[in-house]
Amino acid sequence: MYGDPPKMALFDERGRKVSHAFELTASNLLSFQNALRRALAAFLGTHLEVAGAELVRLKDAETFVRVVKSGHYSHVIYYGHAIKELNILLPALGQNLTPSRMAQALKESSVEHFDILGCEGAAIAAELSPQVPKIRVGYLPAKREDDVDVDVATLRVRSLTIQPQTIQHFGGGHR
Amino acid sequence: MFCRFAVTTFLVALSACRTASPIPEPIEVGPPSEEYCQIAAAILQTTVRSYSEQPSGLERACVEGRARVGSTIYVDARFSRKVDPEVVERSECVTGPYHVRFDWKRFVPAPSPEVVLVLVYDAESGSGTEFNIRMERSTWPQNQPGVMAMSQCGSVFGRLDKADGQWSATAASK
Repeated sequence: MYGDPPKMALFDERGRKVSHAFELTASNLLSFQNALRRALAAFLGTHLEVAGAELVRLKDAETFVRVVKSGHYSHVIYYGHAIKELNILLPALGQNLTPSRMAQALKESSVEHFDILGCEGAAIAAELSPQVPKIRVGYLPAKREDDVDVDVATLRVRSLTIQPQTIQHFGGGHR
Repeated sequence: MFCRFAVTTFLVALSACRTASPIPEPIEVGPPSEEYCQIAAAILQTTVRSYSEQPSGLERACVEGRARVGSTIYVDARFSRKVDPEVVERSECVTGPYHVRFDWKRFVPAPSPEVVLVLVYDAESGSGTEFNIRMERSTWPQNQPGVMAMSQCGSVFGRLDKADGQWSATAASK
């Protein structure tokens, strides 16, 4: 599951705008998803095979609940924004996902492993994990740093890079 | 005698033509340097807030975690009108906790791993001035156009206005 990347102006080394702003649209969605799949594969390495994983865009918090409770998934990864100040995931503006809301959905799901790849996700994982003791909850111990390469003419995403770090875990019986 | 004088005059005129400076390209005059600091301050004050204060802003705790060294938060600000970035006479200024750096000609990376990047440019509609503020790596000018950090603290677009000599920034709703 992924939240929308931020809308950003495209500029050169002097700070001059070189194109329209980059944002996720219908015309570059597929390129972003392909880049994200490649980036996750590189980031997760041999720990997890993501080639056949389903990518779900989280436009709102309800989508998280619906997808998690669908019963189709054993391992869920969240890639998106998190707010340390409030201990929430923020897949889209105004769409808060609190640990208790996530726990409620995860308890009624087939999910055994849930990784939070949001920046500053340790506190969220720490609050979530005791509420779902059977689920292994992963988080990033350091700030997440990503780079995106966008074609300035088409605004399609050429590549996405997630700087390497090791996912830490709370709870759960197995990986 | 007259002929010799005429030839000398001609040579002097020719020489003057060769050494004359080319006519300078017209330069768009932006606001005075101190105003650039006011503009940056207005944008920072409006957008860098806690999530509770400004949900669509640049999250302050995140900004501090990435662009602060000691008590200073580092900001790179760039102003471009039409094509060329404006030359700001002052290379930097300090406003509140922010150390704002304008100098794109003699760029030196900030000591923080990331900086707050403020971009000010003409509106695409042709009237008015807009901005985008977000996070970038402190070495961002080394990137090729189109390569950028996925700003982890958010990204805000907005509009600048000047009334009674004061600049104000308004963040767009999204």
